[in-house]
Parts: sequence; C-alpha cells; structure tokens
Amino acid sequence: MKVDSAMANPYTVLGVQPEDSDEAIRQNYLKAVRQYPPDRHPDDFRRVHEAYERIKDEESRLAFLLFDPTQGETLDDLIAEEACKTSTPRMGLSTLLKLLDQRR
Amino acid sequence: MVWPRSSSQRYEQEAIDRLGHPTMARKQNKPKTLILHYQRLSIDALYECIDRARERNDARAGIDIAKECYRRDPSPAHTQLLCEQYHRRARQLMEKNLATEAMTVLGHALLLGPGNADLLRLAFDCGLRSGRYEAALQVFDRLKDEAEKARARVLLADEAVAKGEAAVLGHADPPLREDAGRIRRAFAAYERGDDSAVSAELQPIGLRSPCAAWKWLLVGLSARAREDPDAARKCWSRVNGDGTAARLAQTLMASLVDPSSDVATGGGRSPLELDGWHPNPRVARLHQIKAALGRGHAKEALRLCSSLIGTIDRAERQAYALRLGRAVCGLIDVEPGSGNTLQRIFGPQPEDHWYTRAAALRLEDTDVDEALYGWNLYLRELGSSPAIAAPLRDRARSLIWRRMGELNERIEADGPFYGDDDTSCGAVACYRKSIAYFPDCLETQEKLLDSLRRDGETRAAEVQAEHILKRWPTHVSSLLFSAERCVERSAFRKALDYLQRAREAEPFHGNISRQMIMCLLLSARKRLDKSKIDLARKDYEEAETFHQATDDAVPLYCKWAALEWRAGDAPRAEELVTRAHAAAVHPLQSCYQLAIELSRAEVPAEVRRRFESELAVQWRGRPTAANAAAVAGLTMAIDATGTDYEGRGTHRRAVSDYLKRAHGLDEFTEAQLMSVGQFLLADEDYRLAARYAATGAKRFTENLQFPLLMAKAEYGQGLRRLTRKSRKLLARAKEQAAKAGDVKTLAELEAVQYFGTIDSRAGLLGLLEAFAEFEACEEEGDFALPRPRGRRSNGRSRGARSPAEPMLFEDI
Repeated sequence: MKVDSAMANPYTVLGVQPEDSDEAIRQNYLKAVRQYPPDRHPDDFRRVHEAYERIKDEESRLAFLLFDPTQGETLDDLIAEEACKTSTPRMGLSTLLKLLDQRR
Repeated sequence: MVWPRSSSQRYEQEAIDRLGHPTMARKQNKPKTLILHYQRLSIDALYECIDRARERNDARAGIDIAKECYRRDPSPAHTQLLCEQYHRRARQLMEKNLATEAMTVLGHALLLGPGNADLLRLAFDCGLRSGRYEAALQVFDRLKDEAEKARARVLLADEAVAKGEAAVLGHADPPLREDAGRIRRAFAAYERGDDSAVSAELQPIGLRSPCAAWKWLLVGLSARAREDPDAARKCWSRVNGDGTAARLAQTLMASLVDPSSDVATGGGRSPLELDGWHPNPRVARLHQIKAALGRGHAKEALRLCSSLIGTIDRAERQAYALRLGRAVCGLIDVEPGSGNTLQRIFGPQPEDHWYTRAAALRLEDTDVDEALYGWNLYLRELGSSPAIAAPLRDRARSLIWRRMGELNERIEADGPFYGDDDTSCGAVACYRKSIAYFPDCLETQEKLLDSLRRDGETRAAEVQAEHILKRWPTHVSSLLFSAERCVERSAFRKALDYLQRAREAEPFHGNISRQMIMCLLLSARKRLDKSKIDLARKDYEEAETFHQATDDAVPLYCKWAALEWRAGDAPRAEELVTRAHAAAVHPLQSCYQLAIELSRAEVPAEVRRRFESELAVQWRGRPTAANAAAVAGLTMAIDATGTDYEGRGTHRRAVSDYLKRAHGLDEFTEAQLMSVGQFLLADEDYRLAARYAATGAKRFTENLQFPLLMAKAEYGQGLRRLTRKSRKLLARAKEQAAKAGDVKTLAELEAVQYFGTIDSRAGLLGLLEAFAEFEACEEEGDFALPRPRGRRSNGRSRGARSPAEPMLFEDI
C-alpha cells in the first residue's frame, strides 16, 4: 500500500475499490492504521485517516465521486505513465557531437 | 627612379584613387602592378592605404601594404603592423572555417615575433581545428598566461576526447592522454548501460584535469538515465567554460529545465523535439499542454491536445482521448454548455457528463453564478448518467442541491446588491430541495437551520429546529436554539426542558449550565412577580446546583436574598447577602446588585434604605477599573432588559459620577475601556464616552473600535464636524483596516466619517458604497447611491447633524 501524496486517490491509499462495502473499507483502513501507527508514522497516518474520511460511507463516496476535483487521472499521471513506457535513451559521444554540430 | 614631383604627386593621387577599388584592379589581372604601385608610394600614403583597406575589411591588401612597409623599414612598428594584418586575415579565414589557411597565415605572423595573447590563442585554435596538432602544441609552449594555458589544455582535451585520434593523443602529455582515453571508454560504457563501469573509469580523473568537464557531463548523463533530473542538473551546472563539454552541458540542461519550451514557435513543436533531444515526444507534448494550461492558454492547450491525439494509433486513440479529456477538463476554464467543442477534440464521454461537472467545479472558485448554472445543467443530465447507480441518484441530487445552497450562501454573503438574483433560487430553497430528495442528512438540515437564522426567519427556523429534533432528539444546537426562542417568549419551563435535554446529550458543554442558570433566574423573577415565592425559591435552589466555581454567583445570591426578604425570612436573607459579598470581587458590585434586586423585589423600605446607605458608602470609595466596568456592564444589562425600578435614576447618576471619577485610571484593560465606553455611548453621556474612547485609542492603537467609538461620541455631542484628533485617529484606523483586509471595519470607519452613524439608512448606504469602492465593483453603476441632502460636492456636510435626525434623500 503506497502512501506518498496528500492528494492521492483515497481508494488507492486504502487499497479498495469504489464498489466495496463500508465494512471492507473500514477493515482496510484499520489494516493501514496498524501498518502506519500515528506515533511512528504521523504523516502516513494522517493521509490514511484523511483518505478514510473521504470514502468511509456511501454518502462520502458519492460526494467524492461528484465533487472531488482530484478524482480521476491528472496530466501528471499521464506524463508519469508515458515516461515509464520508454526509458531515456543513452546517446553516445558521436551522437551528442553530431547533434551539437547540427544546432551550431 | 625619382619621379618629377608634380607628376609623382599626380601619380600618387591616381594610385590612391585606383587603389580605392583593388578588386577591380585584380580583375584587370594586374596583381604585380599593385605591388609596384605600393613601392612607389610614400610611407604616409601606405599608411593611408592600410587605413582604407581596414575600412574596406580587405585584409589581403593590408598584408601587401604592410609587407611593403616592412620591406622598406623592418622596424618594430612595421613588424607589429604586419602581424596585425596577418592576424586580421587569419580571423577572416577562421570565420569562413578555413582553419588550414588561417594557420598558414598565422605561421607567417609567428615567424615575425613571439606574438600577443590573442594571436597565440587564435593560432592554437586554428591548429586544433585544422588538425595540425604539432603546430598547435608549439603555440601552446609559447603561451605565457596560465589561464590561457588552462583553456588550451581544455580544448586539447576536447579534441582528444572528441576525435580520439592517435595524432592528438600522441602529442598530448601522458596524463591528458590517459584521461581522454578514460572519458572515451566511459562514454562507451554509458552507451551500453554499464553505469558501474562509467563510475570506475571516471573516478581517477581529478577535478583539475582538463577532462574534468567531460567527467561532470558523463555523471550528469548517468543521472539523467536514472530519471534523476535534479542530480543531472547539478552536475551539468558545474561545467563551465567554452569547451565542447560546456556547450553540451548547456544544451542538455535546457532540455531538462523546460522540455515544453518555445510552444509559440515552430508550430507548437519545441526545438528540443525537432532536434531529437527528447526521448519521448508524447511526454514532451504533455508537458507543453501542462505549461499552456499553467499560463491560462486554454485554446493553445486544446490545440496541442488535438495534435497529440492525432499522433496516437487508431486502435488506442479513442481511449487515450477520453483519458486526456478528463485530465485536461479539470484544469481548463470551460464554460458549461461548451461540451461540443470538447467532444469534438476528445470524443464523447460516454460514462459521465464529465465536462459539465468538471466545468461547474472549476467555476466555483471564479464565477459562482456560472457554477450554479453548470450544476443545474448537470442535474438535468444526472438521470442518464450510468456512473451513478439509480438508487443513488436521489442522494446525488440531494448533495448537488446542498452544494448549490452553499454556493448561494457565498453569493448572499457579498450583499443584496451583488449577484444575479435571477439565476439563483436562494440558499434556503436549495437546502429545502436537497432535503426533499434526502431528508435523512443531518448536515443539510443543519445548514437549512443556520440559513434561516441568518436570514432572520425566526419562526421558520423554529419549525426547522423542531423537524431536526423529531429525527435527532439529542441534536444540541437545535435544542439550544429552541431554548433561546422559548426564553424570548418567556416560556422558561419549556426552555429548561430543552436545556436539560441538551445537557444530558452533552454533559460537559459549559455554556448549557450557564444558560440553565439564566433561565432559572428569569423563571424565578417571573414567579416572584406573580408572588409565587416558594416556586421562585425552588428555581433559585435549582440554579445554585448548576453553579460552577468559575461562574459569577453574585446575581443569584442577590436575587435570592431579595426573595427571602420579601418572604420575611431575614436570617436566610442575611446569609445569602454574606454569600453574595463573599462571591463578589469588590463590595460595590454586590451592593449595587443587591440594591437593584431589593428595589425590584419590593422589599420593606427599611431594608432598602439600609442597603442604599451601604451602597452610597461604596460609591464614595476609591474608584477602580474593575468596579467601573462591572457597574457599567450591570447597568447596561438592566437597560437591555428594559427593566425599571424605583431608584433607577439615582443609581444612574451615581454610576455616571463613579465613571467620571474612574476615568484616567491606568489599570483599565482594553476590554474594560471598551465596555465602559459602549455603556456611556448607549447612555448618551457622549462627552465622557469620547474621553474613554480617546484613552482607549491612545493606549490600544491596534483596536480599531476606539476611533469608531470616539467618532460616534463626537457626533452624539452634536459637533458639526469631527475633531482633528478624531479625524487623525479615524484615518490611522482606516489604514490599519485596509492593511489587514478588514473590509467590514473599514466600511464602518468610512461610513462614520462621512455619514455620521451607521445606524441610519444613510449610514447603511454609505457602508455599501464603501464596500463597492473597496472592491472596485463595476456593478455599482446599476443604481446611483444618493448623497444626503446638504452634502457638499467635496464630501463635507453643510450643517450640524444629530444622530436622532434622519438623513434625507432627494432620490429615495
């Protein structure tokens, strides 16, 4: 379970799906809290707790679906996905010098 | 041969004129003629010819002329002149990339002498560029300046690394040869992805090596390959100078800093992309889109999206377009209803009416009216949205109506003259609609209650509180509000029921106990007025049980003592008086309260006379700030309830006298000064109020209410205009309010300054005008705020105004 962004999708933070029940979400939340107790991982705990508050019951999940502007993919997500697809090519010395001559 | 003077002069002039076009002379195939001509010219004429050749930028002619000068007289000056001409010619050849020719010319120059630094530098560069390394190294040996030598070593290292030829490596010194070899091997290892080999090759290269720039370049390239742009940037920023490595580092750093650079040129394609520097064109394009959105160029962003989608394979184009559309629409200022444009670019969004929702969310921050319109549109489309299951649609509608209610509250908070009333149905109506779709949402019910209270719809708010309590019987806010309403109607028992329920729901709510005490005291008063002594006593006994150590028990014991005297139980009354005195901070407070309560309770006259005389002794005592604030507060509370009793006038005069004597005490706190000032203003003792306000303004400069109080007190005195001191204080307070962004206080200060008092209609309109001016709202032109009659064009009033006199408007 990855907890690295305050604005991360709460479903991703808790490792649940939108179709899951309140009880399942709560169980995952408790598992996350045991993994990130507040005294040892205060930031992660805060994010887990915030994520849970956003989707803990039907109404809050519906409110998240309707009103959360961060829901869904952002441009940064798309950029990260594309960047992962191709690794940065390693240009050799001759290529670099050739490109430099072209720019000259 | 010596020519005759006159003919030689003439010949000189003709030669000079002819030499004005040496190219033409050469074309006439008369090169030797030129040299012969030079031989016949005097030295001065030769100098003049050199100047003209310099102006024409003809270095070859300059060389010929300088040679002639040197041939006649190989003085140091002529040697220098010839060197200069060679230098100029070599520079010209280098500009045309004729390094070999330039080197030949410079070789002649170097034969004449040691040469200056520029010449040697040029000769070295030419030698490297033309591949004549041996000659370049000979020039290197002649360099004296250490900085030039270091530069030359770097260039030699560049050549060694870039060319790797045995020729240059063979002439280089062993350390340079070794480092250059390491760099080349490191590049090979980098290309095959062997970063550990790169590190191993680079590690022995020192920071002072001429190949150090190449080392940092490679380290940066490795960091870039590891997707660590910060580390790459750090390494490349350490590469300085004008060598090949430095130029490469600058270009690579430009690709990191702004991969979406230069969107406006090149048809939206960055030069980096054209150069093939960027590894992934899609990533570059997405960065460009993000940058365009960041700059607010929505059209440019949509154009880039369109071109990006065009580069995607057909098979995945539709899905990618949907994803891109959702990612972009959240960032773009799209008007609701412009879905056609977006659908044309990104295709239809089948799963949800994404554009309308995203547009409404986005507009909430900038244009609330448009956001409301967007949500209205979305509500209409909600029925056909498969993203929200049918059982949840009513809930969704309820949430959206609540959201619209909150947006309406934001509009309403700006004032009644702002916002377009036609598009919004009001917060209350929105909350009612939300409740109609889903009544079990406590939050919406609370918002409706708050909205009704804010609008002053007290009866409707009471009904709403009842509704809430039917569904949520222990809802504390509703219980407290209902109790408050019951107290206003003098239904104290019912209020106590509500408060008791609230106390059971929240036992640690400190305010509930105090409200219960107040309620019981009022109930006891009502019962006492009806001569129900026993019931009133029970109320006081019950109130005592709710008392906490921090509460002020003086009113309770004073009222109770009055009751007991009325009932004839003097010992009990005396005991309660003792308790009241013990609870009071100063005897004056308890004596004053006791005197009031005894008078109200209509106890026997001798009892009243006794405590009046005790009170009189206290009045004559040394005044203190705490007492002054306490008596002022108590008197104001009595006035607020509209209570009248025998001896009230005497008490008022005594209070006024006490406050006069207390003025000037240094022990007054800010709150005490404000409390006394406000009491005096309400009591219409304007002169004393102004004095207290002036003291407060002087001691507590951060409190903006003191200047306001002072101005009101001065107007109350009937002054034609505010005093100079008051005007200065108001001006300073306005500055402080403007700096702090306190719009309300600023408007109050403006209104007081120009309109006398904000209680009048004129003051209210002035307040609105001040708001409009402060926020520079252009809608102010929708209606003209009339000026009060008698107002001069420069804003000053003509005559005196009293607060009681209404302002007259010609237009209203």
